[in-house]
Amino acid sequence: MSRQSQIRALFLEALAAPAAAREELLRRACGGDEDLRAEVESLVASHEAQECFLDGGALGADFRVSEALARSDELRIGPYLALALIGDGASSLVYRARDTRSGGEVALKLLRPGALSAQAVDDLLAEAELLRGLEHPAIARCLDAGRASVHGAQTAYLALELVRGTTLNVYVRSTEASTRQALELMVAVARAAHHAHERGCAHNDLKPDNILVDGQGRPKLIDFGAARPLRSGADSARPAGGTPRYSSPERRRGGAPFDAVASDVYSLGAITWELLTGEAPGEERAADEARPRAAVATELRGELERVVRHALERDPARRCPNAAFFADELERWLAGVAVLSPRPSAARRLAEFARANRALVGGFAATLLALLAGVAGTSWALQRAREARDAEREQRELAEVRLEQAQAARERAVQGAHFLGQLFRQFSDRSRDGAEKVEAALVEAAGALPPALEGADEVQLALHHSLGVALADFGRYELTVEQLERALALAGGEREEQLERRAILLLDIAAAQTLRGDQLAALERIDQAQRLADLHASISAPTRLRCAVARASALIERGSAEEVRALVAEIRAQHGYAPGPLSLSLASIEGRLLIDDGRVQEAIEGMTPALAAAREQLGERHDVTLGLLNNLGSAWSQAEDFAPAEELLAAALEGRTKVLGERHPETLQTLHNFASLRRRQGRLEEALVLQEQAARGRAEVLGPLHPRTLLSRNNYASQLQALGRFPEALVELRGLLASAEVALPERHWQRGLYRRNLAVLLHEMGEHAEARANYEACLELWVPQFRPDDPRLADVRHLLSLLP
Amino acid sequence: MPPQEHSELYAQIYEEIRAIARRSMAGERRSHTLQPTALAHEAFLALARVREQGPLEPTHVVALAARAIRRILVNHANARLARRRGSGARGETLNEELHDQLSAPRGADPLELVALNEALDELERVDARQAQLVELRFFGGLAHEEIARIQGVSARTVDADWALARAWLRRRIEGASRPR
Repeated sequence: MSRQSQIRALFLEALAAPAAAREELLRRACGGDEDLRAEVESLVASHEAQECFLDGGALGADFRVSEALARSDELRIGPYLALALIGDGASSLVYRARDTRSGGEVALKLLRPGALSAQAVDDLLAEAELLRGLEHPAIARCLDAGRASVHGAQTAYLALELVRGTTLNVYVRSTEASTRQALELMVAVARAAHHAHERGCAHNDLKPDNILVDGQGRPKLIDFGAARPLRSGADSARPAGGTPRYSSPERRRGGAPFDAVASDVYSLGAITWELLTGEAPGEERAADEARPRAAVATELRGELERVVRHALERDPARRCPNAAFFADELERWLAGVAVLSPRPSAARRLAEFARANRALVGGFAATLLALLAGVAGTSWALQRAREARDAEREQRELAEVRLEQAQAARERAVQGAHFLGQLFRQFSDRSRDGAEKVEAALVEAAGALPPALEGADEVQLALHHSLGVALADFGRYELTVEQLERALALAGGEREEQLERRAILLLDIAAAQTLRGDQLAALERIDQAQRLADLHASISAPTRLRCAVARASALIERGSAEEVRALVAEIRAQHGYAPGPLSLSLASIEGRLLIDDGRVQEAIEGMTPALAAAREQLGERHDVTLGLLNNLGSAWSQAEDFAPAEELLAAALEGRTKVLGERHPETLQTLHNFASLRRRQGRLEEALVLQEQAARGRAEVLGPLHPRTLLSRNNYASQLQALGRFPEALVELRGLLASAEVALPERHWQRGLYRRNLAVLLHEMGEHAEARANYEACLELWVPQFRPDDPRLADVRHLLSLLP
Repeated sequence: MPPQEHSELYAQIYEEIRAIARRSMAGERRSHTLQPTALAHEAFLALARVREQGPLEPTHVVALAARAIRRILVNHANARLARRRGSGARGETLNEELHDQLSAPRGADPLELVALNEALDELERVDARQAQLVELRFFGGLAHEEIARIQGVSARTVDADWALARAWLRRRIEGASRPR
């Protein structure tokens, strides 16, 4: 008999015997085998102790995995019997189901139990109500709706006309439908959408997946889950929802109400564009660059392109007025009749021209250089004119005329350079060869500028300023700072425009220093700008706003949350919610404050529309966009919704690595957040590696005693602890605490954090006395600083109470 | 018939149930707790989908599903513990972890789950049948008669196995030094 069988037999025998007789029984049965007796006795003792968590089930008393299997054969929802799962959305499941009364088949939409709420049930029933008001051959009908109990949970269902077919894109691809056939489908879909609009409801999520094509090639519009009744006329839709790829710019931007009908029309245009070209419109890529499918390449040019672009107009007011008009236009084109859609607007054409002619824009480097030379040249002319004025006092009149001419010429040249600089920035794409040439030219120009021109400071200043700003676009922040500092040195005087320019220069320098990672120097410059604004009422409101936002960004880095909160409230009170990069930057700061407050959901709600707007208005690589990607990704990560978290943080990491470099403090911040994401996902080993990278990077870039470096070291130690590597974690945490005591002010909250974490580790290692001392030291630091109801205090007190 | 963790089927079931767990947590973002009822309920639907892939030995699927549920719950518990232990930048994780503690579900304590998981791994080396029994009973919610059918032993054997496994696990878990 094996040892195991022996133990088992004796254990069972002992249990069967009366408790009083067990000792004797075991002594006899084991003979002299004391190990065996001890083993069995300890097992019996363990058996006898009171009830334990093992007796229940991990998922509660009601859960039986076998019943799940048995019942999954027969999923009954009211009078319907589910046959197969055909759709799987975030909040609902769609089954092919049989109506047990008629024997017919339906598409049964059922709320996911996990997404079940009174609101969700109401929404589903509202969808049924909406659908009942619609009657169109290209809209799947609603047959029935109601409440039902499924496996004990109250839920709601919707029985819809079952469409046996495939989604629009699959249909067009698999049947290799011609342009004509594809457009005929879209005519029917547009007419169906128009029917819904006329009956007072917008679909709000038109996309190829929501258009099924049946066996006879007839399209059917499905899924009115996002549909809402239109109220009086315009501004009816709520901005949430929709699929970005097919959503109108105003819907993606979010925030403000918009015309839901016009938004549906845009989606029809986007679907049509994709059918014809195989690519989504407006996605990063300019429309002109999208590669049309070979078969329709020629057809999409000309009038058809005009029709589709009219539906895709960014400005809803200029957009194709309604879905019926779009259908009519497509039919006109199909019939070979002249279409009515106007040519695209001038601004749009200009943008498209610039995108389509990147090579030419690349050649712009030469133009810019010539212009800069022009500015310098005209400056010499100006200088000479001034000299002439002084020398030839008797010919004053003539000299004044020359001076005026020279000033005008200089003004034109400076303005031209600024204009082209802006245009270039708008259309430049840093990854391209052209851009590299421009960058090289700018660097060369920076070196080649003539030495300070006596009496021509203004010009020199303008040149340094333009050059500096242009260089920042290429990530050459050191050269930027150098150029801007030279401009600042030339910016004297107390006239209003001179003061304004000084303030702007200071803020530009601060921005470049921040991007360089030199936060302290940046804050100093911002404070200087703030002093100018405080002293001189003439400093303009936009500059004041910029200064305030810059200050808020800089302060949040230093963890001065209260100060930032007050500042943000003040900015909102003074400047409101004007659109633009500053407001988006502020939204990012507000998001971070909310995250720090633990109000993650609100942070997500606030930053989501801001990110959409930033992507659209500023582009994917703008620092504000990257900041929002980082903060929103971090918020999702904390909300434990890992898919969006991963997507956003990966985008932020990639973008920051490209734009700022992998050693930049902001890049390291994102790396740090990415490590936290991995930890939350339970991917601890990966998290450890990333966290170590972040900690080491920060130690090198920011210094080993920088507060952010300390936080990374803290997380690294936590990672070690989570992996059970206690001795290493202990060394790390003790070192960290020692560093914090050198590096941080006496009452800095991080000191309390490290005390607490050290205490938790000691607690876990069984060093209870030392753990207690550290918990108490933490409380001593935190109690005077936090509100009495701050959860951090409750946390430490709770941990303390767990100590024996 | 011990479940093959690396089989494609297992991977599929696991993904299904994990997705469900994530969704049921997403519905309860503020509390970050798994809603066992929602998880259990959705498991029905997920398993229905797995079964659509083709005929399967029913007992095999039961075992796979129980194992998948174990893994999901343990991973979730591990993640929660990691947050409870460590604290991240700007007090972020600290706040978040508090949500966990303030609203932790009454039944499954993450420390207990993680400890059970480790102990079960060890038990599997000592006696694989007992380990499977615990998995089926605790994570799959199965009655002893059902387990007897799956394991091809008598119900009495399952009763005896359970008494021994339970005693062994308790000693193992409660003997481990952990604060609590």
